Amino acid sequence: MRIPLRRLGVYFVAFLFAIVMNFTVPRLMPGSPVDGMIAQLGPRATPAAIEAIKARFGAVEQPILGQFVDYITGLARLDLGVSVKYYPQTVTQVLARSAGWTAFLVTTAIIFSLCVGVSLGAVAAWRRGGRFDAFVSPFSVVLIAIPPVIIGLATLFTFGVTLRWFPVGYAYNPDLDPGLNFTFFGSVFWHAVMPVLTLSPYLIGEFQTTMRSSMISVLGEDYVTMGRAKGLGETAVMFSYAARNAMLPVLTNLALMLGAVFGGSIVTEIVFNYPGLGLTLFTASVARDYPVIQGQLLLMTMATLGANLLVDILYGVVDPRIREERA
Amino acid sequence: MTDLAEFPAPRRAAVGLPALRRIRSVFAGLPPSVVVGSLLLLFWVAGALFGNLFVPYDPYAEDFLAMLTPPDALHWFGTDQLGRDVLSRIVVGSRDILLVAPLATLAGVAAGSIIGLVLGYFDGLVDAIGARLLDTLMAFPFIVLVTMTLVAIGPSNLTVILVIAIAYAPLVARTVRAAVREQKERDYVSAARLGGEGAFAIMFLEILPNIRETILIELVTRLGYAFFSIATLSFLGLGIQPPSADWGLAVADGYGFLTGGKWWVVVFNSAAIVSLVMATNLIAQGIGAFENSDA
Repeated sequence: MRIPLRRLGVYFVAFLFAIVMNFTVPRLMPGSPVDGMIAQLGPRATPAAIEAIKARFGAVEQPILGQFVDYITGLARLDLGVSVKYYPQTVTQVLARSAGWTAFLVTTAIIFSLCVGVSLGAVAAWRRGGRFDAFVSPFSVVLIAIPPVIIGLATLFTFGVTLRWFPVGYAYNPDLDPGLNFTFFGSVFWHAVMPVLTLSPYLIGEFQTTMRSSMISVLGEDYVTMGRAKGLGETAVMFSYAARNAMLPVLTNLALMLGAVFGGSIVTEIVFNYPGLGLTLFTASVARDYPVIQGQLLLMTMATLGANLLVDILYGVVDPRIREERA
Repeated sequence: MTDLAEFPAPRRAAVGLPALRRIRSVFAGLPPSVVVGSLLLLFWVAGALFGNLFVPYDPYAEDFLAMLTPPDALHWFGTDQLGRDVLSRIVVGSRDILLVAPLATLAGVAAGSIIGLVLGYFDGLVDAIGARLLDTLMAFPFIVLVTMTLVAIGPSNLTVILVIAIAYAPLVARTVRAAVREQKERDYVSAARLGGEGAFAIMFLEILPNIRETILIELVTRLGYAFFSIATLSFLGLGIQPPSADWGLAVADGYGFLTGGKWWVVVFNSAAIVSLVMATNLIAQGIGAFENSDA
């Protein structure tokens, strides 16, 4: 399956944009980041320490072009610098520790919301004007409007603090040794329930709304009438004929929403103290740990672009017409 | 013989107080969701402007003898960790967000509309490059960029306005560009071109008035997102700064006490944020439906 070169060009430009922003924005800071670090040291800032910091965190005195070359060569070697907060550790180490948890959380939430939202949207369109539609469709609009912070806090308070059904923090029980056993997976699953439930309402609302309107326009197509005329059952027409074709706008929407999903995962992870990228970004921004924030921007850009690429490929799987055009 | 249609339908006698009748006449013909949304929004605007005249306590007065007291007859919504009355703070708490969000949205929509008009009107290289660039920005995790920028230049009302406006401009430009491209094919544009009008006159005097519904819907929808985003940024400490009575800030302060069962600060402030976002979404939805039924 081939992706048009033009799309790849778009992804490449987005990546370049991220690289340039990464280089530019920290230099907008009043004073250099190194000055900030020296100020943090306070009385421990001996001339030797200042020299060491300057040497380790980049020669800021260099002309801007030289700095840019250093930065690009560093990137090429996957060297994103050293974290300020977790000092001896590199940015790559810090991000590697948390990226998996966010990927797990976001993927689970997207798959769960796709199943729920698409089914709700399909059924609402199938019986539009009915009682189900009259309740579910306005409810989706409400779901989209509630900031994830608030859903997170409500979930935390209800199921975590008051009912004590789910643990209120971390990704797994810290008493357990991470390993490939049932207890550990159970603990990971149990800790992910509330964060996933927090991320999902927005996604479900979006998927339901998109699916419903797309399904309604698909239901007017000849092939749906044809399916009915062939004597296929209601369920078969609804899912194999209409819903499959109505999925395309939902997938496009998913690609456009990924930025918002990452945004949601940031606050979700903060509320539930979940050790993913969002919590890392938050602690990094509180500590003004610039190298980590920059690394995060690059990583999230790559993830968003990767996911967009995946959607492009999925598009071809769902819609054979596109597959043939590209082949 | 007179046609029945010539007789005007009997008008229902207007009921209610004169003032109420006047309010009703302002909203006459508008969809109910717009009316409900506007009233809710007006309530918060009034709270921001005149709330301090009506609230039971000074919103900024600390009372160390009444810290984190649950809701009771004295403090209907309880008090926060510094003994400040939660109800009074919520009423005036919309001040900053009602200033920052609309300004950020206006700036973003204005910039985005200009970019969209130019890209949509001109064919060729300008549009080809511009449209690709907009596609690119759509696939960009703005939240991280916004965080990074606000950490770098320091959060304040002004920086939040700038950063949100810059983040919105490309999104608005995309929608406006699509609307302009549709209008460009219409006869009135050809007529104006034949009449010798310049490109900028056609863009801003001919096309712009015809896409004002698109821009209006974009404005209201983006305003809803702006409330949403700024509340989240304030929660993260990157938006509106203390000592403002801002709701997002209050949620961030109260969040630590939630696990101890002290729910009132978080719950009431969250409800206020949701009501503001909902009000805007109701208006946006109502306008959308209204315009569609018009066409």
